Amino acid sequence: MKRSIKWYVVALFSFLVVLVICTYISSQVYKHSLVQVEIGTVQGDSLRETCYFEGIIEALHYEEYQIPAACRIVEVYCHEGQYVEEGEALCKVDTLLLEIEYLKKEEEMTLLRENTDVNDRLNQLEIEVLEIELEQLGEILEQGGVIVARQEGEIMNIPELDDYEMNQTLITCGDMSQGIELVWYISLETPFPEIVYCSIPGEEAERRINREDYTYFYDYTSNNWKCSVVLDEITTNVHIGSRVQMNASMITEEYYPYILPDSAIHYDSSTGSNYIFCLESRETSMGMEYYVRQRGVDILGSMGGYTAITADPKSQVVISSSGQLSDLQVVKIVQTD
Amino acid sequence: MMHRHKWSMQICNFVLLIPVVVPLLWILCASFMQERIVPFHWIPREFGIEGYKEVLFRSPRYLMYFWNSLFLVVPGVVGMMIVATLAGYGFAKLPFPGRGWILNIYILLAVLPYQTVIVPHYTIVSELGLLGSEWAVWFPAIFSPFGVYLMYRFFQKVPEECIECARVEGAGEWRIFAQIGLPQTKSGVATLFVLTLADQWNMVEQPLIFLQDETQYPMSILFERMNSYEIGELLVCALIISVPILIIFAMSRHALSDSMDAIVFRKEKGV
Repeated sequence: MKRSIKWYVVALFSFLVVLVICTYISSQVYKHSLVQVEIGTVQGDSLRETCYFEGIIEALHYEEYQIPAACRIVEVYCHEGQYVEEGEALCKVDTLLLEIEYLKKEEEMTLLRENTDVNDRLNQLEIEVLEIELEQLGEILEQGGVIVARQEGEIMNIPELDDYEMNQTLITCGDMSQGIELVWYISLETPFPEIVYCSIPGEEAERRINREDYTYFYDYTSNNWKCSVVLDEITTNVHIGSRVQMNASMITEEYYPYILPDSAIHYDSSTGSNYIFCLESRETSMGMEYYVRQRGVDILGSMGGYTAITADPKSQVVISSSGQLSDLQVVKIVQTD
Repeated sequence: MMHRHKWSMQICNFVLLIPVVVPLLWILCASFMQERIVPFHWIPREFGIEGYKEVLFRSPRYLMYFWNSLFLVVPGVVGMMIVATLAGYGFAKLPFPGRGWILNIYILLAVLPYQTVIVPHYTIVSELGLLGSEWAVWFPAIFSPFGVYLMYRFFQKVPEECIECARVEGAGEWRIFAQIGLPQTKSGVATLFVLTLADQWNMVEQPLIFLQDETQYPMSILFERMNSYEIGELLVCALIISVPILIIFAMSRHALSDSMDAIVFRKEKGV
C-alpha cells in the first residue's frame, strides 16, 4: 500500500472514531436532557366530579307579623338572624299614628254597620275583617306599640328604625319548632348528584343524603335547581341561615369509552383544536427509544378533572411532562407509583 | 511559448474549479454563522459553533443519520463489488450461449434512469417481503447492472493469453479470477468502488420508497426533512457527510486516473 493511501485510511478511520465518540457523548447528554413524561392509560367510565358548595338551613314554616295599618318604626329590639323566645319584644311602632289608624278603622266599621243590610254578605265580610284588624291593632296598642314574638324562632326579616310601613308584612320569623330543612342550589348544567354529604355544625359525622331523599324544583329567581331536604334530629347549635359545608359526587348518566385526565389534553389556539400526545417506541441502534406522537381529538365532555374524548388513542397517553412537548419528540418515561 | 500555454491552462483549471469549490467553502464558512436565516456572505456576522455543538455533542439524532448512511451504503457497495467482479469476469472470459444478448440487456439497464426501474424494484422487494428492511436498499444496489458492465469492460482488457496459460497450467477458474483477473483490474475495482460509493452515499429515492421507518433514513434524507431553524446543524451535517467521500476520492484518485488512462488508451488503440 502506498504511503499516501495509508494516511488517507488513517484519516478516514480517525474521522469515524471521532464520530463514534461524539455519538456516545451526545447520546449521554441527550438522555439527561430529555423531557420527562408521566404516562396514563385511557379508561372508560362516566364522568364524575366531587364538588364542594354551601347549603343553608331554613325553617320549614315561617310566622309573619303584619300590621293592618300604616305605621312608623320607632324602636327595633332584634336583628335578622337572631333567635327569639316566645313573648320577646321585636320592635316598637309609633302609637300615636297607630291610634289614628285605629280610630279611622273603628269609624269605618261603624259606618258600615249602620249602612249594611243583614243580607249584604260582602259588607258583612268586610266588617269581619275590620273587626280582626281592630283586634290586632288593639293588642299592639295595649302593649304600648311593642310587637312581641308569638313563638320561638329566628328573625328572617325585620324593618329598620324610622321605616314607614303600610299594611304589609313587617316581620318574618322562622318557626323552627315545625322542623328545619337544608336548601342548596345546583346549576342547570350540572348533573344531579347521586349522593350529597353535608357537615351540620355541631355534628361530628357527615350526613349522607341520597338522591331519592331530597326534592328539587326549578328556581326562576336564581335560574338554578333548588334542592332541599328536611333535617331530622337536629342539634340546637343550628339556626336559620346557618351555612352548611356540603360536597357531592356528580356522575354523568352517559358512559364514555375514552376518558383522560385534563392534563393530557392540549389546546392549539391557532387551529382551535385539541390534541393529546401518545407514547410510542422504536428500536434504534442505541436501544429502545420512546417518543411522543401528536394526535388530534374531539372533546365530548369534561368534569372533575377528567375529559371524555372521541377517538381511542390505542396507546399510552402522556398525562404530564416536565417541559414543552412537540410531535415526535423523544422523551423519558417517569415511573409513577 | 510552452510556459505561456502552461499558465493559461492553470488559469482555465482555476476558473473551472470555482463552481465546484465555492459551495463547499461557503458551507464551511456558513457553518460558523449564528444567524438562523443564513445570508450569502463569507464572514460570519455572529460567529459561533452552536451547530457543531448541537450535532456533535448534544443530540445524537444527526449522527445517527450518518451511521444509518454507512449502514445502508457499505453492505450494498461491498455486495455489488463481489457480484460485479464475478459477473464481469464471467461475461468477459467465460463463453456461454446468449452471452451477447444478456450483456446487451445489462447495458440497456445500465443506461436507463433509475426512476424507470424503481417500480419493478418496489414490486419485487415487496413480493420478497423485504419492504421496510435494509435489504430492500441493499438488493437493488448489489445487483446493479452498471457495475457488471464496467467490470466486464475492465476484464476484457486482461490478455486472453494469460488466462489460457493459467488454464493449461491447471489453474481453476476461481484461481484464475482471483490471482490473474483481479490483480490486473485493480484500478477498475477502485473506480467501481468510488463511483458506486458516491452514488449510494447520495441516494434519496431508495430510502424514501423502500424504508418505512424514519429512524432508518440516511443523512442524505435529513436535508430534505430539516427546517430553517436547523440551518446551522444542516450545514454541519453537510460537512460531515462530505468528509468520508472526499477522503475516499482522494485515496482512489490515482486508481481513477489510471482507469481513465486505460479507457483512453483502449480507445486510441481501437480496442
